[in-house]
Amino acid sequence: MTDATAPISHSPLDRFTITPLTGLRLMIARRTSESFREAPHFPLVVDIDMGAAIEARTRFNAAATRETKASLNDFVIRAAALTLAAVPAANVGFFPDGQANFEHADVAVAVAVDGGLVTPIVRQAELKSLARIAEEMTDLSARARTMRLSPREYKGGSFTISNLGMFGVRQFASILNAPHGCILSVGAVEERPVGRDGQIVLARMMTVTLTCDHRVVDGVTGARFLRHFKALLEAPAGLVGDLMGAVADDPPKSIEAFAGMVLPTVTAEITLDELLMFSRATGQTDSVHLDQEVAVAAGFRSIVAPPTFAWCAFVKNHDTTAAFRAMGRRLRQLRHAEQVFDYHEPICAGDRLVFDGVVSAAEAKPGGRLEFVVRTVTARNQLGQLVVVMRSTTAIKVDAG
Amino acid sequence: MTARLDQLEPGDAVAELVLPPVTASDLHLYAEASGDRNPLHLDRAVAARAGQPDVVAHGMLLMAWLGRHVQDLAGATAVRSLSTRFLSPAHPNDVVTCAGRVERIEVEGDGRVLHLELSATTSDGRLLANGAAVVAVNS
Repeated sequence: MTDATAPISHSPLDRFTITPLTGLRLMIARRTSESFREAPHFPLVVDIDMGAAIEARTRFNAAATRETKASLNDFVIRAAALTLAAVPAANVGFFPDGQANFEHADVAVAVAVDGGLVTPIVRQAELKSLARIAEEMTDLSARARTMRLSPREYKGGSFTISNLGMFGVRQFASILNAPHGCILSVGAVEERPVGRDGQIVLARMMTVTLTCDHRVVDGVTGARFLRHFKALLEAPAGLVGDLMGAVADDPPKSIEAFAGMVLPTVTAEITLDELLMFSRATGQTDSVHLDQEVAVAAGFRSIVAPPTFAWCAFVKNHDTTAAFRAMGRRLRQLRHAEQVFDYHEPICAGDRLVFDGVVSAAEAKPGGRLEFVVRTVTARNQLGQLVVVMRSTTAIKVDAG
Repeated sequence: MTARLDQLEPGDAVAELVLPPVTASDLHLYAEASGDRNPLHLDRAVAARAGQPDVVAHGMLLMAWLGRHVQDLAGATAVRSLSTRFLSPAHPNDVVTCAGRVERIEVEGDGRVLHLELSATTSDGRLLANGAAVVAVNS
């Protein structure tokens, strides 16, 4: 009979050496023990048919550069990010003072390193294309393995993904990465017999487990997450990027199918002439918009763009109706309903802006007469600074079609 | 200007901006400057087919006026966010007034962050657009 209160002991027959825990191991030991003890966690498991995603990846990589070749894990990251945007109740964290409702899908991805693991973060992953995610993950995991990540690249985040599929693990349930409310454990893709239309066929299946912290995530929320996530991977057109040409010939009936569609990246060189013209057309009176000397004396690189110019710079360099044509909607059905700008850095003449956009929401109102499409577009300048985040809502009158 | 932004309290109105009457050439100039050459803004026949009495001012032009007004009050880099909901179109000869009210104020370091409600109306009382802005003001 064992005495339950006796300290952990070993037999004189055991042969071993003791190595002190490294800083990384101590941190892992402390955080996983705390999390496993504190968080009332439960796993939800789902099987996903990855056949279409594997084919989409082959097509995608045929056109990709070496840096932007996507792994299946990049598909998983993008699908998880879009799902978090669609099911925000799963994009939450538990803190002693309350529930964190994260604004973005900041997806932490577990990467094995010497003596442990680290979780570099793909920030605002719901706004990033597959190519961009692939590129960032290549860079982050290479630097993680050589311990060259800065703390801001692995601290925080809103959701975690751990993938042991490459080792052939079929199914596992990770320990929550506090304060994240969910962690997704991804198993290997393997051929399995599945039932389909009354027949047994072989399909390339992948099992994923979502571990949820019940203090902030209920079973139904986790189930909604998994349903959306599975649907995205089994019909992966929305994950692969620029869909516009591909779907224009045969647009789906449902506007919801376009949520997650990535808009082509747009680059714009901002010229002095176009800024002056815009300033005059909108009646600007502040000299920083009109006079180079005044703007430079005020500490700007050059003449400063007025508040709403960024959207025009995007629209001028982007066939804005193409996204709606791809949806099978006509120009005359569209009405600009709402526009939002969140400003981070000023735009000046001479700047080179890169705009990345995504259809961040697409939904039909009950009754189906009216649809709303929200495009979220971020701009960065030549210094790599985030300049502005813009959201544009278009109302579509369905009857007019 | 009625009062400086740093002296306002919640509920106070900000100074109004009354613009000259909208003209068709304003819309042509904005179409060139913005790249939005949708004929609804430029061609009366197209506007008539869409059930409009005249060409329609670009919604983003109204927003540019609201943004200009807020920025003139607060300064070139003070505007942190700007949002507008487009409710009704403006046409040539409309006289547009941009107005605002302080919704709430937060203290941040040495300065204050003002949350403003904005509106653009015509002289005959039609609400064209409403919106909001967040501006930082150093006291």
